Amino acid sequence: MRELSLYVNKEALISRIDPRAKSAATAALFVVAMSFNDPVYLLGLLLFEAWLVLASRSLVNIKRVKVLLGLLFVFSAVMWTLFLREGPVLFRFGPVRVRGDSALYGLGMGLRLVSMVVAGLVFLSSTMVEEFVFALRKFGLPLPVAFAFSLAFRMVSQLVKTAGTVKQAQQIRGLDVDSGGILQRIKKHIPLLIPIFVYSIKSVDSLTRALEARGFRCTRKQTPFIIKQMTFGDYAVIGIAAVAAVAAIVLRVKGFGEVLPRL
Amino acid sequence: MTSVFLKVDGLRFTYRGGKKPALDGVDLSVDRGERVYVMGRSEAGKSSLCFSLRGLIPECCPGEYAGEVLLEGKSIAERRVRELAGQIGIVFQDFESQLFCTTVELEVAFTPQNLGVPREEIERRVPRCLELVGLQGFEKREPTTLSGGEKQRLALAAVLAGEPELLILDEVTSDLDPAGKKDVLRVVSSLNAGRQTIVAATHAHEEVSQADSILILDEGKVATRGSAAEILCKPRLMERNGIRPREINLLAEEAEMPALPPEGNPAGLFGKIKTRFNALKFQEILEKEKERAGSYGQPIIEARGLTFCPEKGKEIVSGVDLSIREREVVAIVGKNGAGKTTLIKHFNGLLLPTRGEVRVKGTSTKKRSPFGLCKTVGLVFQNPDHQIFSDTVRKEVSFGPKNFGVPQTEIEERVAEALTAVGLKGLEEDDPLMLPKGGRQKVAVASILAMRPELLVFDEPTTGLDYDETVALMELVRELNKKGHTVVLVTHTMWVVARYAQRVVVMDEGKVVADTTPRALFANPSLLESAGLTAPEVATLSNNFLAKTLLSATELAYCLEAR
Repeated sequence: MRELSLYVNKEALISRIDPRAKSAATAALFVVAMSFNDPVYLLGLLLFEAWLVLASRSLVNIKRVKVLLGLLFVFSAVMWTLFLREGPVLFRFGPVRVRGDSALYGLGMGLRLVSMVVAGLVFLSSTMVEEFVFALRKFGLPLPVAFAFSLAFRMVSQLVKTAGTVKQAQQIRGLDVDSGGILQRIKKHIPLLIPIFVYSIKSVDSLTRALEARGFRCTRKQTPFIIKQMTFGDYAVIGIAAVAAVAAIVLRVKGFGEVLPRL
Repeated sequence: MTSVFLKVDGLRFTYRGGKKPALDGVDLSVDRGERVYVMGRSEAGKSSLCFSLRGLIPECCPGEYAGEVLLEGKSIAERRVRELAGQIGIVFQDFESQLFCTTVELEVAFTPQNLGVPREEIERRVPRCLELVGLQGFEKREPTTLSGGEKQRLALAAVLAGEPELLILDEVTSDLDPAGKKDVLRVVSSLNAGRQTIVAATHAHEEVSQADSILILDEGKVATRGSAAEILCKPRLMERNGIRPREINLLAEEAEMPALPPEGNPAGLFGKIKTRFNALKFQEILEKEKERAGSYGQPIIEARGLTFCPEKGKEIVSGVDLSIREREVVAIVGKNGAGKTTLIKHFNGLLLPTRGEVRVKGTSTKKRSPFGLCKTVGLVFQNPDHQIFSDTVRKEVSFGPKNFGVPQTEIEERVAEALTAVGLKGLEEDDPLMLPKGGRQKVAVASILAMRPELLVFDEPTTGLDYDETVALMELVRELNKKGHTVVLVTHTMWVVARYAQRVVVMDEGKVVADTTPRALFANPSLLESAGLTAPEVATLSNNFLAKTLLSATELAYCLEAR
């Protein structure tokens, strides 16, 4: 079965940055992406992220989701272009009118979504789940919540694997979930959902037992094994991220980076 | 006199909603440094006993509990499960469910972290435990990238890092290939210079030779307890309790010789066997095999240059040429991750070759949908829980034929036929999820049989089954083959290969490294070694003492002259 973990275990430049600094930088990238809707600005952001992808050696993960990224971009660009009625009509295809501002905004939204997914992927590719939990703990999240995050990563991966196997097991008994009307299709998912549900319940049960047996408790302080000291470089990353986020907001307020006056 | 380290007194437990007790008045005492192995058929209470010793019963499993478990005189019920982690460690059968972390090093550190052990001490324990299980150098590896055997050794290291005085092993080798089993057993036997206190549940007699004592459970009660030598020398007692006996001792019984203890020298027994061995009868077996090999029909599966790589540069199956003919029983063997399951998923079009071709009855799988192919090729998945969803056995078995639009009267006929074949007739209205694992496996087989495929493919069908269940399932496979079904079997269980397969395909790193008969495979120690396989005991001993490869005690007994 194909491995679903995204962490790239390589000594990349970005992997060495403190997870707190990386979290702050990722949040800043999201803020920048949300600040602009002009595709030129967002293309600039995406180019910067392309450098991050190379520096974090996470190209392998980008390739894994390239279809999803392509779909997000195309779907978003086309939908906004077709359904947003802003600006003069550029040309018509029968009843469909394409307006210049709507098309630019659509392109911007497509780039925004892609840049946010890429930023998240760079973070996940360069950060171990335990480092992420460490950062969350340092941000003041209680252990049960932070640990739940790490388990969620694990369980989602396991759930996807189980769903794949269950689908194959039912497919070879002639289950075809892609044909028929909506109600019929929903009904056809029962043979998939029940085994996945039963298997997941059993897995959670085993997981709980294993956690208890390994002495895990939410109320007691764990000895930290991963200890990260913030370096000057980490503080610099946080500083640059904060400046970038604030600058993006200020620029937008001053009217830069927008094709339409909306988010 | 040594003091009793662990004492179990009148332990009774019935799971909530359970019809009968899982443990029914179990008494047990274990001295410090003793190794007690718990055996018995499925549902005999082995895992329930392990969970009780660790305190998981009753804390994590609701039900009716009575009796007491005392560790060094103190009742473990007085403490929470998590508080006992530094004193009692448990390794489970399912290695996937007990690994939580992103790297091997963090996984081992997790238990002492939870116990509040100082960081400097954790840094000392991690390399020490990894060395104990032979995983030094793996510190930064992701657990998900390890083989099954390595994962189980990691789970063991992770538990050992808590420095438990009592180690409980709940069927830890059940899901492993022969090489993985061997590695785990080697580690377990070397722990604490052989003096780690261990209580281990197992189905397999190969694992208990170093036990100080063996406890056999039957329906939650202690059936018997004795030394390894004592129990292993009673093959009929083992059989009665659903445990596969040492075949060599069945032979000893046949030869009217005393049973052979675990470390005993078989020379005497084989000396006597040699005097009664009839070479003509052996020749007769070989002739029958040859005759059978010539009687197979047309190719049903033909793979030519089959290569499957889901990602660039990652070939899971590589250049496989293979032909399976009508009425054959072919076993596919090899280490975990050798590409066996990926190969068989090409037989019914669930996977399509990246390069090369697979033909089913002459037509490429690329030209047919899995929907059409499953009328010819039926695949029984390893875990029946991946497919069972109906509330009755009847509905579950009729699901396939219904999807193919088979008329209702014929569906009923097929369901009855399939359930009779698997021995579940009369259980039509039972809830399949409530059946034991062996029963659920049979439901899965019946649900495939009801589609009347010509080729039946089983993916590790005997995992988690006890001896009786395994024999019942494999006899069913034999019967189906006699009725004309072609059978492909992916398995790690070598005695199953020896007893039931007619041909064996050995895979290693995605390639077919041998395509031969079980007899030729078990006569080839270098091939066995390189593929991480182990020959059954009778085959090894007959190779050594008779210079002939006999596959089972039954076969060897057949070759003996009557007295």
